[in-house]
Amino acid sequence: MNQDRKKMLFTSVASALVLTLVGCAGSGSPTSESSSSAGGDQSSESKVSEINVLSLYKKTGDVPEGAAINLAVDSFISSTGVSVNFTEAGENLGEEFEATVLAGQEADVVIVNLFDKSSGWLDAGATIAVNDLIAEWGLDSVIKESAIKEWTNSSGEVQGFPFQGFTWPVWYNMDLLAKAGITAAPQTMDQLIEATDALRAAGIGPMVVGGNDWSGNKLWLQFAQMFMDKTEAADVYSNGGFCASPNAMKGISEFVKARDAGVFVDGVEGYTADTMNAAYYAQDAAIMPAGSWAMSGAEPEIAAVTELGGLPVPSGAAYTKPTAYEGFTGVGFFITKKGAQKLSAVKDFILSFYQPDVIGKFVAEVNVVPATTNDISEYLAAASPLLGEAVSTMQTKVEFALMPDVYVGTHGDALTRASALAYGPGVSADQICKAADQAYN
Amino acid sequence: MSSVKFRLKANSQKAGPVGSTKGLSLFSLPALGWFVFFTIGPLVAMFYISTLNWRSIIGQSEPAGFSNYEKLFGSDVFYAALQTTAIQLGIMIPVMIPLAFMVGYYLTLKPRGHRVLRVILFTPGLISISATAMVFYAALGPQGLVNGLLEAIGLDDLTKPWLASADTALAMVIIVGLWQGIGYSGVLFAARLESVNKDLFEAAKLDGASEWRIMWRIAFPITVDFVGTLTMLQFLWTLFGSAGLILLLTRGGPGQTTTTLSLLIYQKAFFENDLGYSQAAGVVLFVIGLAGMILIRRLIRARD
Amino acid sequence: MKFSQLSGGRLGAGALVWAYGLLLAIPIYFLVVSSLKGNLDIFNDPFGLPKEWLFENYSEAWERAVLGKALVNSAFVSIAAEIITLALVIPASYGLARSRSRLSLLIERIFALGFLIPAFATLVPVLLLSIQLGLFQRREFLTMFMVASTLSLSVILLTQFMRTIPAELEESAMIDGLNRFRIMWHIYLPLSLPGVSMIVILNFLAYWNEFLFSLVLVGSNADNRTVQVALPTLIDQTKTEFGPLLAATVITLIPVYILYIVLNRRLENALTAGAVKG
Repeated sequence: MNQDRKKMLFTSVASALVLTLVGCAGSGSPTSESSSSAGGDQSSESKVSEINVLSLYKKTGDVPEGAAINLAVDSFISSTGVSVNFTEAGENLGEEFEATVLAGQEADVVIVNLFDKSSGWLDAGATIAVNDLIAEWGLDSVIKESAIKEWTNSSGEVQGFPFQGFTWPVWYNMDLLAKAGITAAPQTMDQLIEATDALRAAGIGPMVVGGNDWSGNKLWLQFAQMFMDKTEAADVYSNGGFCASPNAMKGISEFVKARDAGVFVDGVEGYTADTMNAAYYAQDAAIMPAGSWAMSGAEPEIAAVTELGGLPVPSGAAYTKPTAYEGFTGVGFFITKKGAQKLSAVKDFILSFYQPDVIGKFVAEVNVVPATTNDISEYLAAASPLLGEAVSTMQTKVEFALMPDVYVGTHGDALTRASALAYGPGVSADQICKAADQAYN
Repeated sequence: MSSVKFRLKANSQKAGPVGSTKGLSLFSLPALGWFVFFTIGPLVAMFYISTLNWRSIIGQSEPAGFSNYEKLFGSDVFYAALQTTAIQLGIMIPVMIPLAFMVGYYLTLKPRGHRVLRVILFTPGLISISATAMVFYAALGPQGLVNGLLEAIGLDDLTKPWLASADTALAMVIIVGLWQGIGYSGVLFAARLESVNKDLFEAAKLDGASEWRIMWRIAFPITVDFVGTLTMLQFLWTLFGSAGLILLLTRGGPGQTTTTLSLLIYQKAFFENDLGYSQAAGVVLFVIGLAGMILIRRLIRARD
Repeated sequence: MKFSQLSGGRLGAGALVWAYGLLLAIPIYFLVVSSLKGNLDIFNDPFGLPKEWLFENYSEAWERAVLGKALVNSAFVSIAAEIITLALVIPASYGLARSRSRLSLLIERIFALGFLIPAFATLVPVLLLSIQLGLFQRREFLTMFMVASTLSLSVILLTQFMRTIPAELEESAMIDGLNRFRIMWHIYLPLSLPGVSMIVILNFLAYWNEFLFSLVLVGSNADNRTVQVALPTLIDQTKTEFGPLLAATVITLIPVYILYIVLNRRLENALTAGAVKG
């Protein structure tokens, strides 16, 4: 009896402790209990000596964006005298930020892209809406309207300041195509399959894509929405129901047809974005769907023979030209509840990034498509030629499909596993749509 | 003389020490207290959170009764994960433990180069999960070592992306698990076998027994408690801990083919922002682990 | 005849074990070799020798991931946790090994319960605990948690080892007038050095290689983070330089291998120095 009672005592004490913890954290807004700077309100703003930044961008070491970031941060420090505590978080930034919010110790500014985790922060009360600030800070004439729209949630609140955009075309190695006797990039599905046959006969890999990860997932979604208008696509991406949508099934069947015709390189289901890039750069494959971030890694010889275009469409599709993606949900600036207490310092920090020469550096050295309206032609000259092509001549060759990320949200991971399945040989459209629907389960 | 010692050793559990034993329990109180504070508390919290509707950790939570469990038991994905876990454990444990024991026994024979071998064999335990995953990614990827070897010997047709194919992904996960476990457990078995009196082996050899017989008829029964413990450990490590490696190798895919129950917990918590549901799966996993642990204990006791 | 049967079997077994050993050594070879290559070579020629030996991968990894600080943090946490754990576990195992009371059996069962806890299912509650204690993102809390996470294994394993020590030794010592603490220190500890070495190694590995809790409890600020949290900062969202990443991985492996080789020797010496007394 003695030991049983002891056991119960232990567990009840421990559980009482933990229950209070969970109760505290779960039921109320965590930041309301945070003991941040003593009496932090407007009056202490003038005494701000440091701001804390959590960033996906890296500043240290030999990284492409290093110079651009240092330019912005240094100009901020020298003009305001406020120091910057810059934490570079990697791919786990989402989890880390949320843990700090729970602890009441979050950063003031978060530099990250808009993805499933970060799109939930405004609703959870961890960050503030910036609709008014955009106008107040004079950024409404600087940031593109379409970019602001992408960062606006369904309640009309703008979640953060858009900074980086991207294009996501299909890259065609015209040299390799010529070797196979193809003189122009395919515009229709039939032409794509023709080119595939010719390329394979010439011993060249046709289209390479990271079947196993997000890159393959995006391409698969591009197929899936071929016959859907943007509204229907948004609905299916948000709620699932691929099997139930005849148009989605048409798109998936088109994917299966292409796969079975050998459009994708052998073993495509095992490729990732990294190995996809490696294969294209090594000229083992002639076609690759890749975003503007990949342009930094393309050597001049490859860039010279690459022409940018879109994913060919079949007849009867909802699009008349080959499709590509573009968007502005790349890196942007979130202001946290803590940052809202240091608004003028935060304003100066963020504005230092929107200076034309900083933006120019991002374009030239990181191959970023900025979300701003200023003229970047002089910087494009220093960037990869592919970037220049993407923002000019390519624009008329393609139509832009619906970028799925914002709609797919937290189902992204499960959906990626479903598309990984889809790239395997012999998998039927039925199996694929079932797996995709399961992601919404 | 030696046989007496052997009997004494085997019966060391039965012979009690002189003096009271109450004082001895005190020796373990600091450890116990520390342990309970950090582990039992959160364990109880896991049960509690499973009854909440709590999505992301910075979101609100509200009581939800057993709805998470209803969702769980009504979900295809859950049963698929259950099956995958059963297959994984059903193949891995019965293969790993005997092989590891043999490796351990071999090491205690101190063959040539056994020092080097010990270090090499412990490699899976020494390198972190991320390093392991990177290596196997390179070996099993479409242009990896395995495919390269197959091509080199002319078996091009057999090449495939092993980790990304629905029919081989789970097998690969199991193979990696075996790769890790055999060497690691083997070294642990060797350590335990070192403590066994070698005179017994010598005596048996003089009687003409082969190494095989010595290994299974003498070494094994003496160390059967330890074997049971390690079996239980490997069972639990695989049940709970394999998620890390699977996450890095296949992320549970393609489709659901490598999603085990422990991976499901991780997915639901970190990718799909559903903490309450994830903890409910955690509770189920706890129950399975408990059942497995009791079962293994019974099996080992039966051999005694 | 029996003799050759013996050596034939042993030869066969030896061949198999060494073949398995090869399977284990190849990954290390791959890691080291790839750490000196560029991306294209790593993907297109994974197991060949580097065409150019990119030693700068190491310096780049060191700087970009701020490995110096990370190694210090990992060492702090691992060594501190190791010491605390030993201080807790050795007495506990001695007590449990010798005692046959129902209480100690119960205590052993409670420790065994630790194995049943799915680690990351308790991530959120432990995080909340660290916040409540005001120790969020502090190495001290991580250290304390690490100790707790290995108590189960250490106690269960060391207790098993200590049980193999004959009770008569203790009995004769007590007749000589030694109290329990001295018995533990002078008799049981030396005799169970193989077991102690084993848990020292296993625990160090657990502390050094742990990722998830180190990330969530301490964070990725370069001043505080451990070495495993520093590694993924070399992974880019869309384009990773694998050479430096693997170079950093190799750097994190070195302390582990050194410790293991050193302890392995000591382990062997302890055993052959007549640990099994007459």
